[in-house]
Amino acid sequence: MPLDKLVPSAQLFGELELDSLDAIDLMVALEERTGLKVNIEVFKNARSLDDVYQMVTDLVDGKEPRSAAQKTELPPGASAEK
Amino acid sequence: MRVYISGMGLVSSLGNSVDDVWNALLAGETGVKAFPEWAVHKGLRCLVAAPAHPYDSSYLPRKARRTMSAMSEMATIATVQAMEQAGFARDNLWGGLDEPRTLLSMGSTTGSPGTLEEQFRRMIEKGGPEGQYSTTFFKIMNHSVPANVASALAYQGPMLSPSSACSTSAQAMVLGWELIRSGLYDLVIAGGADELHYTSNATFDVVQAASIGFNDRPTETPRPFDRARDGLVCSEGAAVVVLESEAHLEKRGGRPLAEFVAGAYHCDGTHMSQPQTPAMVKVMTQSLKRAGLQPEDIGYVNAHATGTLLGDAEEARSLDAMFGRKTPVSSLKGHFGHSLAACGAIEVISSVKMLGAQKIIGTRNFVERDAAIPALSLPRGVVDAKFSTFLSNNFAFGGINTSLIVSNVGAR
Repeated sequence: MPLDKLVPSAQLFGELELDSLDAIDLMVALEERTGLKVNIEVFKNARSLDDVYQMVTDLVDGKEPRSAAQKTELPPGASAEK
Repeated sequence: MRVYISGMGLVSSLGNSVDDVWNALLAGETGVKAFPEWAVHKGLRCLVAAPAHPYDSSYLPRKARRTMSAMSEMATIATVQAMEQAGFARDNLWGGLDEPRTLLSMGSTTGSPGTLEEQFRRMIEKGGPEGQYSTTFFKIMNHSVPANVASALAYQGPMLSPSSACSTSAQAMVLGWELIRSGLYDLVIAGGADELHYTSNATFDVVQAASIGFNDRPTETPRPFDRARDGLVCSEGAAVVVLESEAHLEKRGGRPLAEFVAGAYHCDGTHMSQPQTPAMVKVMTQSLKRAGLQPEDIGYVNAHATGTLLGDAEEARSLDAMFGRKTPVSSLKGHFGHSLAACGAIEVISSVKMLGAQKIIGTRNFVERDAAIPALSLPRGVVDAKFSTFLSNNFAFGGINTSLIVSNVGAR
């Protein structure tokens, strides 16, 4: 993936063409890198790279996730079910 | 209805194109190398293997590669090569094909052994599925190879995944021939793939079938039919053959490379690992019967002979019974190693090249015939030959035996 596409506003499921499998693997990779458990409900709400950044910084700083209360529908193609 | 081979592609320990492999065979090269790093695996005695030549899969989309292990990458590359040779453009592989009458049929011995090991390593370390990657399973499914090929190349027609270890790709080809002859399909993309992993060596090591005495001189093993043979050497790769009905080939103006005349696959029904001469004779007899040919019509036999003590002797006895001692016989395992699910198609592709060049590639590392091997015609090096038809054998764990027959175009 070209580095110049990795800007804070880049949409995970649109511009960056991630899907459900990528999202799960991204979560696993973040957990491995930080050694911390990602709140999957918070992670499901991440839509942009900036959302992921905020989630990770909150996690590392031990803060209450700022988007934990949000509940949004997954975009098309983001379901892992077959 | 005649069935032709119209395309061939491969990734192997001798090279990653049909021409490169043919040149390596003519030069008598081997893909076998030392793997001293595998000595860390307690009890593993066979420290040699034949890895595939480095290949470039970067042109495949990320979403295709993320669910692929090496076997699927190699199979995709081989499929593209084979389809291109058959006359289909890389950017429009299925253009002009009636997809419901096209079959993708390829398999592997197991799913990716390295990925399977990693999955269980993580599972054991973490005490459960926490931290598993979502893409792991798609590399270890039994039908991982054709599923990934289809996904990478946007293929949407019928798909099968025959899996019979070392006879996988041979079985896929024979099955393809059967299905085209039955009228169900016009074109079958048949093949197999496997990737190198120390557990494959271990499987054969445990049953005393792996070469263990040549770790310090890897290029001298395996040694099919030779007195000093001490077992097989695992390899990896992928090989794909496009089989096509005569009518379909003519209709689209394609060019046949060889005629796939017939084949058969039978079970021993007696033993999981011990090869049986009568079963080998039976499957070769059935293959000839289906071809409408006699043993004297076969001008060259490409033997499965992997370099094991028992397997080579049993096959040599079956060939003696079938063809006598004048028909040239060779094994290519001394060059490639044993690429398991890929070997049947690799050997057919190599033998089609022999047929075209009217040359036989003799058995590499065959120096002195073992007393247990009948005095067959076992050429060494590269020899000129006049032949129009060859028979190729593959025998696999699980007691499954395949034999198939290929002729020059117009020979019959």
